[in-house]
Amino acid sequence: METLQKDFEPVDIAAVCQCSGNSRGFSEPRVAGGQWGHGAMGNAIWTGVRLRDLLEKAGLEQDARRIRFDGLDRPVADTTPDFLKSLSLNDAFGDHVLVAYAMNGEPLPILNGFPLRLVVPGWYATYWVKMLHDLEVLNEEDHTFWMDPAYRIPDNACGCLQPGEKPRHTVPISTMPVRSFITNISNGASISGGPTLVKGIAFDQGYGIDQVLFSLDGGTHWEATTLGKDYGDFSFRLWEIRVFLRPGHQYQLQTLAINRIGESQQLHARWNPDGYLRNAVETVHITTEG
Amino acid sequence: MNLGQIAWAGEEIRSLKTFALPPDPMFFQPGPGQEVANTYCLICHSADYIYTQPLHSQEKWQSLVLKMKQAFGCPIPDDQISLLAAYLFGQNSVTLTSSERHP
Repeated sequence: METLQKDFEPVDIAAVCQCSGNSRGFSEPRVAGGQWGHGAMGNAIWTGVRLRDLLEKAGLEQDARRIRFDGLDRPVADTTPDFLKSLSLNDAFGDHVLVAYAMNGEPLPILNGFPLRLVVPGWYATYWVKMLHDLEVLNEEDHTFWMDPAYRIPDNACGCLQPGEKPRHTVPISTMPVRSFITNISNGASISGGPTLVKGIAFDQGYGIDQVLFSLDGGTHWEATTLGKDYGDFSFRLWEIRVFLRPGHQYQLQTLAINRIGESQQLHARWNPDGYLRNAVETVHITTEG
Repeated sequence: MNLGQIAWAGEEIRSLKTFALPPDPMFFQPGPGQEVANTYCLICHSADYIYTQPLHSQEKWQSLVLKMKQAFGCPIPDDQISLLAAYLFGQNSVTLTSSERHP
């Protein structure tokens, strides 16, 4: 730990860590697996050393193709596959990939992977290996369980299929499509009307959020929101908007985020057998009192 | 590994925090196969994981139990698999009352 902190340049990055199956419980038709709501994600400032600095220090052979990561955790039974993940050399040498030792300026909490974890900004959390203790250089593709067959998506542009269809070819899941959420009003809430501040978050795979649009009427009319402080392209971006809500009405609140390369959320949710990659526009149904 | 020996910024960790895990919100309900479910399913996940699944056919439950054995290494004996699949199929459509969820 001392060597990592003293001999390598420390790097800070704000980045979202989101489960591949976040929001799986909203898949329609429903799919097997942990029935997540929208909460399987978090955002923090991670501090650590660049993975590529470590790899350059170690030195790689010419035929190196992938880096595989192992944590100190062990499977519950000898017959259960150990949790191993890997990145291509190109991805592992990315500017932002860290071996992190701190979260929000303090040592990693045990549940967040103390003492070291991999941080792969823009990529789903399955790659953010906790309690990291082993980097293995591979000169071949990686077909261990958690890369193949687990955590894979259909090999097409949308990572999606017709409901019920089975994928012919799959690839490992990787980056996160753009999403946004309302965070201060719950679905089904009854609130007092009048002038109302609506707040939330948006994020993407690291292009950064360009704008977040807001609708009171289920997507018929959209208006621009005001973006909050920019903590970096991989972070939650806060947004807010002041609206007037008439008493005794029903509203369908929606948000639509667009990133800096013009990618926006989907109006209709994609479907795949594992409920991965959800980034549909979500609806918060509310009623105003009076 | 002894956590007390991991150095943090040159200092040993002198105190450890403890935290309580939340209780499982559901338990496997009585019926043929309950013991098998308690013995093998709970090695890795809560009963809640079963009761929140979408409705599956018994054939699908059979394949899920086989996946737990073959892919995830669940040590369930082969002669218990059909019993467990039938039990899980039956439980799959059960809607638990709040007292059953929190006995």
